[in-house]
Amino acid sequence: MTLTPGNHIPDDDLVLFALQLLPEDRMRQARQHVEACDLCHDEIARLQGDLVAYSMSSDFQAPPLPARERLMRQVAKEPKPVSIPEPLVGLQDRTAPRPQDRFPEAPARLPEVPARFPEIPARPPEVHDRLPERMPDRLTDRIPERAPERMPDRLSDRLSERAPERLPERMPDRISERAPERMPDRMSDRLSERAPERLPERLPERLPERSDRRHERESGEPIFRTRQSRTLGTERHPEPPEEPEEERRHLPRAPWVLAWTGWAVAAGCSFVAGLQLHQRQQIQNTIAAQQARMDETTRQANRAHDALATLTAANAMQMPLHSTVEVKTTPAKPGTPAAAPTPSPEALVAYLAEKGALVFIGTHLQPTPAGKTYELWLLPANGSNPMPAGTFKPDAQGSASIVMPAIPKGVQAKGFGVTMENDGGADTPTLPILMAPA
Amino acid sequence: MKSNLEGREVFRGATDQDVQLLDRVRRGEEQAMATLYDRYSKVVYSVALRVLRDSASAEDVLQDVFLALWRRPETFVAARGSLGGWLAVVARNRAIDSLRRKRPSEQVEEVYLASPFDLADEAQRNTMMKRVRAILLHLPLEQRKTLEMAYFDGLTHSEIAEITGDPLGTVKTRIRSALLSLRKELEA
Repeated sequence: MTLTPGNHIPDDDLVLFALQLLPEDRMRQARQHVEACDLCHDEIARLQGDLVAYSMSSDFQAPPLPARERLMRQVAKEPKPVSIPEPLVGLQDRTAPRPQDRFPEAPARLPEVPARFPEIPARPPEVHDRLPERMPDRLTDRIPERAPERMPDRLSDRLSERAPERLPERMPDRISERAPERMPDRMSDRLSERAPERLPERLPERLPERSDRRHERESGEPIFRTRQSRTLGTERHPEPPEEPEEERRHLPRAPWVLAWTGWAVAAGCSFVAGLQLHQRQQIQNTIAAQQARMDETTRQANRAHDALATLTAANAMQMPLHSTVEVKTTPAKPGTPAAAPTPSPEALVAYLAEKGALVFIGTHLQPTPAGKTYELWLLPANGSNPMPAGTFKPDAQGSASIVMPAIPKGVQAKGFGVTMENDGGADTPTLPILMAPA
Repeated sequence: MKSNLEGREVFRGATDQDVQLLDRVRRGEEQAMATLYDRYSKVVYSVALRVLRDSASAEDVLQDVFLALWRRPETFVAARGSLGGWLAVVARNRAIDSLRRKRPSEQVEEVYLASPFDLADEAQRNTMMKRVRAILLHLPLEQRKTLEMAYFDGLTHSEIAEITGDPLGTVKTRIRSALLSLRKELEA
């Protein structure tokens, strides 16, 4: 592109750029320059503004009503996932990171489940690991050395793995005191079989110190009967109390149920909210469409009222128009009856200058060729250029009308004329004038 | 606003109502889209009809323009000018593209627009139409015709020169002179 000495786009090319009529390569060059040049950028903007103003010279016509419904149907088919209300987002993707913003309680539970789950299988090794460390503190100086011989089953198996030499000495002393009375089940049976005389002596002294299970025993509940190995481990371990253990036992199911219940409720709420939102938008669209129809009907009614007022106003100009060209009639073939003469086109213009209101009614009009239209012109009384006053095409019966075209108020008319123009109309009349006042 | 020229506000941004409506469109509110359509469909359709002279084709452009707004409302930047003016220019450009059976161009949407007119207001629109028409009537016929061929027929200056037999430079100057006269009269 040839740039001016000031390194700017020439003014004439700026206009073509705004009109998007430059060749593609020059458009590209100009675009690059405009992006970097404030002066040219500002002038382009002003030219665009001028073009907007020029656009306003068009006849304003409302699009057909179905166009609105067509657009809104298409719009409804293209919802925006980003902007869909919150519940729907939760419904669309439950695993997405976003739901935690919307359902704070749900994610708060979810992380706990995996966190606690692993603890259950981790427990037994933990207990066993601790067993040898704690066992010596409590048992080594009390358990008699003979215990291995008298506790050959589960208890003795475990104890012998960790402290085979120490256990035998003291175990019999402690357990023997109460074993006959309070351990009637497997444990006590086994102990009583193997160390009936020794165990009762020391066991009462140590048991109260070990855990609160003493109360359970005292209340007669046979905890050793079913949990021998596990309670033994925990009993000797002061840290894992009974309650957390119970809690752990139930957690694997409860949090999952609660978590999924939360999600299910959230999903249900989301679905219902989404459904209601969709219905609400449909209703709003229906109302808007009805409102548009009502506005259009009101506008048409107002136009009809103005048109009627124009036709009946005492000070309205009533001007008949007649054809200025001879109507061609097809000559009758020899031997056939003569065709009826074609009536000459006639029209009546009612015009109220103070309101800029005009009604044109034409009859017996000749059909227009394809791509052509009739156009009515107002001839201002001050002698200025003719003003377009609407286009029309006759129907099958040769009738046509123009009702309330856009005409500035207060333009006094000395006459009207009809010409034939290209579809869409023209700004200046194209001769010949087909209809004019008599 | 981008800048001032001669102390006059050059870029009049979109109205608050339009900004709010566009924001709602951005959030996917169909009702806001319907409202925007009610405000500007007449402008878009009329400009497209003037270019294409066929109601079905103009309706296609109307759908195209508003669907583009629905899909990419961020394309219009409020500070760059009025939404109505922007839509009018976009409608014209898309109609010309349709006329030339060309793939729609997106470039014009990125250009700033100095348009001080609120085209959502039908009364102001009609007043503007009358003023512009009155101004155009006083322009030399050659200028008026050349501008019309360039804007509403989408003819390049070369094509216009071929049709009218005028030199290329003359065609360019006529288009620019017509627009500058229009601007001058509207600012008067």
